[in-house]
Parts: sequence; C-alpha cells; structure tokens
Amino acid sequence: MNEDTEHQTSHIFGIRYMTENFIQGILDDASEIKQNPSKYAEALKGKILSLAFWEASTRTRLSFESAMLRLGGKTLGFSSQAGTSIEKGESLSDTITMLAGYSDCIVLRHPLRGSCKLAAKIADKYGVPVISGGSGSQEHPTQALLDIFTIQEYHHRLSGLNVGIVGDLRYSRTISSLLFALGKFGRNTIYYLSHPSLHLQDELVYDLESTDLEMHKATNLAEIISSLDVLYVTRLQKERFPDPMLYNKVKESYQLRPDLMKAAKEDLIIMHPLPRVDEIPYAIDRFPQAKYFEQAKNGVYTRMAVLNRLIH
Amino acid sequence: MAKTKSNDKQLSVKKIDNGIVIDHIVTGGAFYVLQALNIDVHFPHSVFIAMNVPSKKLGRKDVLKIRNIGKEDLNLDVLGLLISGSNFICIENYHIVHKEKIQTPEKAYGVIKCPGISCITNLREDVETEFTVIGSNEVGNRENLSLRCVYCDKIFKILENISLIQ
Repeated sequence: MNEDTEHQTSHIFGIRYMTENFIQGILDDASEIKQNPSKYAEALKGKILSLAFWEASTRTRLSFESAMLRLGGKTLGFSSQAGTSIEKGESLSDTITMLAGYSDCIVLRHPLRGSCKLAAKIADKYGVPVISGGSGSQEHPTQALLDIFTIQEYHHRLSGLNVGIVGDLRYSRTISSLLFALGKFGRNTIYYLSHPSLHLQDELVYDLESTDLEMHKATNLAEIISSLDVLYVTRLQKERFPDPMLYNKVKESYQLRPDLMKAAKEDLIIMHPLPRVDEIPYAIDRFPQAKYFEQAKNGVYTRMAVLNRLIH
Repeated sequence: MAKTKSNDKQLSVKKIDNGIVIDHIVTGGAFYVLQALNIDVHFPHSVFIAMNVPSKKLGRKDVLKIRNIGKEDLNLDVLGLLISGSNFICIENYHIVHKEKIQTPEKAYGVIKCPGISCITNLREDVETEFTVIGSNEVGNRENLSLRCVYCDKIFKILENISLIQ
C-alpha cells in the first residue's frame, strides 16, 4: 500500500511501498478466501471495478475480472487502445478522471513508467483507489503478492529460502516486485541467471542494497538447481534482443530442461508468471514441482483479497 | 571580468550597483548557472563572470555578478542542485541587503525534465516533474549528486543530464 502521505486514498503502486504487516494481511485474507469463497460472494455487491489496460494482458486482466465477479461486483473497461478515445489522443489524466467517475476502483496497465503514480494522484481527488497492473517495466505488485502467496502455501515460510530467478531480469515486471517482497521477510538468498543485456536494472540493485537479500550471480541452471527451494523462470522477450540470431543462440542457456530436474529437491517449486514460450518445455509440466498453473489460479484469491481491502 | 585594480595578492572586481552576486561557486559551476538562468547573448543586463580565480576557501572558484535582477528572478532550488554551498548576495545601491548560503533542496518540483525516455512526465500530460535528491552535494563532491524521478524511479547525475523546463 502506498505510504506516501500526500495521497489520501490507498493505492497499490509497488511492493516496496507496502509494510510487511499489510502484505501478510493480504496473504492471510487470500488464504481465508481460498478456503471459504462463498463467504465473500457478495462482499463487493454494487461496486464497479474499471480495468484500464493500454497494453495486452491475459492473466492480470482476467483474474482481476474473475476476482471482482466472485466478490459480487461488476467490471467495465478496455483491453487495448483500439476503439477508445485514447486512439484519438486522449491523455492518461483525462481517461483516469473519467473512470474515477464511473467506478469504485481502477486497475491500470500502461506502457510508460510512472503512469500508475500519475493515475493515483488524479484518482485520489475522487477517493478512488488505483492498483498497478504494470506501468512500463516498473513493478507488478499483485503478481508478487500471488507469487509469495504460492511460496508460502508450499513452503510455509517466506524467509530462509534459496530462490533462483532466471530469464529476463531487466524488463520483467514481476522480478522487481518479487525481490522487494522477498526482501521484506528476512534473509533469503537469490541466485540470478540472465543474459548480460538483461541483468537487473541499476535502480533496482540500488534499492535492494537496503534489504537483507543475499544476491549471487549464477552462470548456469545446473550449478544452482540442487540447492533451490523456488525456481522462478521468466520469458526471454525476443524483441529485447538487438539481434534475433543472438536470441536463438542464448535462449537454450535459460531453458529448464527435463534432465536438469534429476538434481532438484523434491519440495522445489517451479514458478513462472506466464505466458511461457521455450523456457519451460511441456515435459516439465509432468513433474510434481511444476506449480505455475496453481500460481496463476492463486492470482484470483490474492486479487480478491486486494480488492476487498481497497474498495469500501 | 572588469578589474578596477590589480595586484599580485588580491583580485578585485567591479562592484555592481543593483543585482545579485553568487560567490564561491565551485570551478566550472558558473556555466551551469548561466544555463539554469537562461542567460545568453540576448540577456538585456550586464553579466560579469570570473572563472577559475584564486580562492582561500576553495583553491579556485567561479564568481558571477548579474545586474538588475533580484532573488525573485531566480529559482534557488535549481541553484541548490547545481552549486550548493555557494554564497548568494543581493545588492541594492551598492549595499548588501540579503545574503544566504545556497542549500541543496530535498526535492525538486517542476524545474527539471526527466531524462527517462519512458517516463510518463515526458508525455503530453498535466503533471509537474518531481525528483528526490540522493547522494552527496558537498563542495568538491558535486559530481556525485543524483536525482531520482518520483514517477519513473530513474536515477541520474544532475550535472550529466540537466535539462531545465523553461
């Protein structure tokens, strides 16, 4: 939750602004909702959620929609700029002002960094909370909430974990939020593996210095997999590589091959924010450690918990 | 800069009747101040610039004297980002009527453009830029002063990226 006192309303920009207590509260609520969903079937009856997606989304948009419907509320919005006044040049500020009049909460995804903070500043005047569904390559906070909810569900703790993160660490929205989240729950060890052009952003490295995370650079998956409690894989984005040939050359280095699983712990959990492409072959789905679809499903419960906290 | 007298021990510069003096600027800082104040050949008043002159305090320093402007014409927060620790003096009828040390602000609002190419503040939006000052701005360590955009989180060194909103 945003701790900035300039904002009267509670918004969700990023995990870094949330207290450990707030996060734990969301995780507890999500667990309760998962166990007793019918109890919350009318919790937000009569409320409307705006889904304002300037960029494509499947899981974030649909799981927020599912969450709102399961809480008895309704949704409206758009999933691309096509067919809206944005195509005609309408600004983010004007669009948010309009949506603040139409609904009780806004979930926003926008290609530019800082867009969620600007939206929150505007919606604040109307007492409407804003939740970031991703603004540029900045945080994706509700993804991290569902990620650590899943980790806690399987490991029953959020500290003392060995976590491998693999793939695109620079432009992936989920990685920064996940690291901030893990950094709030005591000492965790992170092994990170990526192509040099996709290393963590400088700003993120600067921010993580104040956490208890122990960061180790890994050179390949085989070297680290036996020690991991969590393996978090992200998609290599072909378009981030200046040369398509380079993408084809390096993608196998970050692929979780079935033969690597021989060394994995039984209680390892393999996670992925999805969509996956080549980095997790279908053969991995048959291993009991594969939890990415359960992880995606948990997105509904954690987002129900978030909406139930923010909308009054 | 015009000299009224000169000897080996003391540098003396012409006094101005009305205007401002910025003294003890770290060498090289005068250029940034002129840029920040948008002073060029079209500026209507006299500007005296001394660069790299001897200073007991700094070893070398820059000094600026600008006629016929006052404190109200300046944004001291911008100067604080560029030349904190310098002395700012207002002159009226050859007398000092105000003197203060330029301080580094904690935040900078609406005066600098964000160099982040994917920052929302660079789009056509009704938003004032906002930066948090990080790093040290001690005299002699000015190069390490950095700003962080409150919106996009980009961290950048002010002297390498200054782009003022005019």
